[in-house]
Amino acid sequence: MKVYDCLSKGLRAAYAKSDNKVAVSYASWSRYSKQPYVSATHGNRYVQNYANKTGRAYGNFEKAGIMPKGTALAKDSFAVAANGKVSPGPLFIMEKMNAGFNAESGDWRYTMVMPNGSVFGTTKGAGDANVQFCYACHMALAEDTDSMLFVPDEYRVSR
Amino acid sequence: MRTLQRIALAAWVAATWLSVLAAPAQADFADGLAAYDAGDYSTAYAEWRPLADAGDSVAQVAVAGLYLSGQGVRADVAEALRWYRLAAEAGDAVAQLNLGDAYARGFGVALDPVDAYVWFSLAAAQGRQWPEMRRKEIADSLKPAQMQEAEVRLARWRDEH
Repeated sequence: MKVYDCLSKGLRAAYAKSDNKVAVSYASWSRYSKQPYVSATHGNRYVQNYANKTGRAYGNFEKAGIMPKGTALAKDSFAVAANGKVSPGPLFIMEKMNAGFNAESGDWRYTMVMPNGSVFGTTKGAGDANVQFCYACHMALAEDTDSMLFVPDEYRVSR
Repeated sequence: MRTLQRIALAAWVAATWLSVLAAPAQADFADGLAAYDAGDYSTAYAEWRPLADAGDSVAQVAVAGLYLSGQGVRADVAEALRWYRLAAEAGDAVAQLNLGDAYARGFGVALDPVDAYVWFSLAAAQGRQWPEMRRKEIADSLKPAQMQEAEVRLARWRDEH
């Protein structure tokens, strides 16, 4: 965990360049993964899962149900190359919006914050087309869990 | 759905996206981002580089990021900063704040608080909070002559843009 604590500081500093509200606050939220784990759906990067207070039902995992408006989920990430070099990865954000916000994304707003502060896309905002692949995948993989993908069993933190 | 089934489905979705990317087509930023997300950095670079060459500042910032991390290309800080500079001079706020950060830290360039102040100021003028915070920090450390030089450069920038 000390390695992640060290990396986390750098990740937070990198994402903060974006001015994105989630990017500057997510690290103070509840974390639902015990340690970084490899995410096959995000390029085999190591990720950790966070949810804000409104989204605390995320901790019920498959039993979470439909998340309320105001839920925000964040997943920070880093890649480890074959030579051991660690590179910061994107911050993946899902925010539950008003009913009717966007049926195609299950009313979730997806945002991808890059480690240099770029926000290359946000659903129904600037660069909308750039993040359509996010909800195309989430809607296909998690139609029975409100588009949410969960931490593998062995890495889960129950709250 | 069980974890293995989800992984298999994820692999299928990723393969579908990548097969779309593999088809000959015009460079597309979104395809590059999907490839980047999937960890296929070479394809991301192949999609973004033509756009960057054509002057797309968002793609230039994306290419700069790949050169910094050495993903899809050999790591090259000088090349990353060259792309940031192109985008910064075109007015891209993210490129400006990253270039300012490089000068503030002496990362890939000689430490230069005046240049850092100028680039942070230009990014902050576009409503960005992070470079505004950094601009204020640097302002406290500048000598009067340095501040005057920075203000002259900023005035020149405003005249030219």
